[in-house]
Amino acid sequence: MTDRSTEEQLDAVVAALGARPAQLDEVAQARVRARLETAIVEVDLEAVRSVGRWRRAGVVSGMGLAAAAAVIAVVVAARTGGPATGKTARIDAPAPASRAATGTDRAAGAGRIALVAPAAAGPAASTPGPEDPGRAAGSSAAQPASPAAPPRTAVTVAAGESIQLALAGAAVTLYGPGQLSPTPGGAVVDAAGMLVDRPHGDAPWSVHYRGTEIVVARATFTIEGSSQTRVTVIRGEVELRCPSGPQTIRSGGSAGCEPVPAVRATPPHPPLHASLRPAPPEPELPASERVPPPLPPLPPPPPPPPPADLYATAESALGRGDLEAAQDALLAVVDAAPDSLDAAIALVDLARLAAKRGDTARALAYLARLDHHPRRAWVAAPADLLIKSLARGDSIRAPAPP
Amino acid sequence: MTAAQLAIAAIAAPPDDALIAAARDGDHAAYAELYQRYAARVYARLTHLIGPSGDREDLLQQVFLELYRALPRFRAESSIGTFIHGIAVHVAFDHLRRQGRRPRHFTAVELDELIDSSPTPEDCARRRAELGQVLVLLDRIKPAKRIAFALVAIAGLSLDEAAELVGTNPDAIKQRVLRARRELLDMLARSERARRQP
Repeated sequence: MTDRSTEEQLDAVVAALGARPAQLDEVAQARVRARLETAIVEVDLEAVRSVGRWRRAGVVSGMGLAAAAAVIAVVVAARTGGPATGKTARIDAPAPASRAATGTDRAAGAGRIALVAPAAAGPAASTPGPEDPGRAAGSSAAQPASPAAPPRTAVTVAAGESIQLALAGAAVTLYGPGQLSPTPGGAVVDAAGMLVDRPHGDAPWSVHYRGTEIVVARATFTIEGSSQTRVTVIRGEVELRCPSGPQTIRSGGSAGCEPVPAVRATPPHPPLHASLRPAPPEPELPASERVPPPLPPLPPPPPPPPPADLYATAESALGRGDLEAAQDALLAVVDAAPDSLDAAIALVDLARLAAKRGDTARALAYLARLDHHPRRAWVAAPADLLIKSLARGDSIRAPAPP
Repeated sequence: MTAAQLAIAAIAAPPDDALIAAARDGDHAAYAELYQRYAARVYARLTHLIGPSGDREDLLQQVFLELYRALPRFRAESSIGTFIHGIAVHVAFDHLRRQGRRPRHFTAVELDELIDSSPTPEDCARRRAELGQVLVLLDRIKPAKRIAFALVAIAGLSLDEAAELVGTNPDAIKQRVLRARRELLDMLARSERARRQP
């Protein structure tokens, strides 16, 4: 119970609280303002980073949608005999009776497609059904309709063009010039680049790319093969099996193998040791159904020079003003020891070089690779400063020569 | 500064809308100007809501950081002042909820911030004790009721104004204020009885 004096006491205190507002003195106001400015910079940086992430995610989703559209278009074309949407594709198939083998067809969203069947192809089998999970877009000929059977034809893409395929639950975008030969457990690829989005599937699926094997269960990743094979994982994780040894790349990571000579995606010769063992009896398959086995591993290359030496090379190139050579050397540093401090510094320098060339997207991509770098803390300040400069659109200087 | 100088300064100062538009475009100076205009008022509002706590500076920073994030969503359906104070209310609510209903003890310096200079030291000590007691009891009230009580009974807002800041209807605010007051009076009475018992 309350009495009058209690109510009066409460009202008096409450009135006093409201009557005399607390004063924020100038020192405290300035102190909070300084902290606020620092926090706002962090907010801006995070916004820039998220833009990069969304841009990458947008590219991947766009590719995934395009791949899905391509598969649907091919299925519709195969069922109706009418044209599907997309660019004109050339289909070179061996079967004389197949509609797809008669010449020009429209298929699969984008890209010039050439279905190159193995030599001495037999009569074309029936047109595969749409339920075939492993069919390549445009490969509507020369393979039987089996729900589990992977496509057994190679797909080639012209230079500067691309094609979307559906292979074993993976949406694959192949950038030309290049060729892809499906195998039971994956594909053998030799192309300028490749984007793989495999959101489902527990069975390992492997891509043999120029002597490198990439094994994936569920992941989204890209393979670039400009100067050397580089795999960047956007979602999930993949195992990169280089001639020098395997390594696991997780989401946001990127790694490469040493450059090797380009290897055609045609079936290679059997390994020498295979002739020393009695071969198990195999049913004779027609040549059109033969599956190219995985490429044999290449001999291990000589060990690369230590990252410090590579970095010294990059610094000397910067000193000469040879930015191209500097970039190559910095990339070599990153490839030689991806988790090293040298690699972290090299990524910042690569981002600076890209920013100097006006390639903001590439600069942000290099900086994004630092997000999960074990030595991120060592280069956090210059990386954040660079991101801030990119956000403001400042002109960027090249990394300072020694 | 004279009244005329103040009037000129007020005329020369850019309106809030212009500052908001500039801040949205990344003009940090415009945002700093917004901060200068509203920081003191938000600080006073935070004092009403959580008492003379040392956490107010952190919460002030948090309010303006949330405002910076929320500016792109600001549609000018209310004034920027109301928008900022609404953020302050939510920041204070989260703070009180995290802190729980453990009573805090304020220092004399913190309490003196809210007490008028009294004619005698005895009078000052008495007011300080009463204020400290009420603030401790306020900490025992649920945050939603405390926020409503602080906005209406301490800050003197109308039920409609408080409801707009909290994001509820005036009837709910009224109920919360009445319950908070009843709880405070009960606790004060119990405290008084305990003090009188030998």
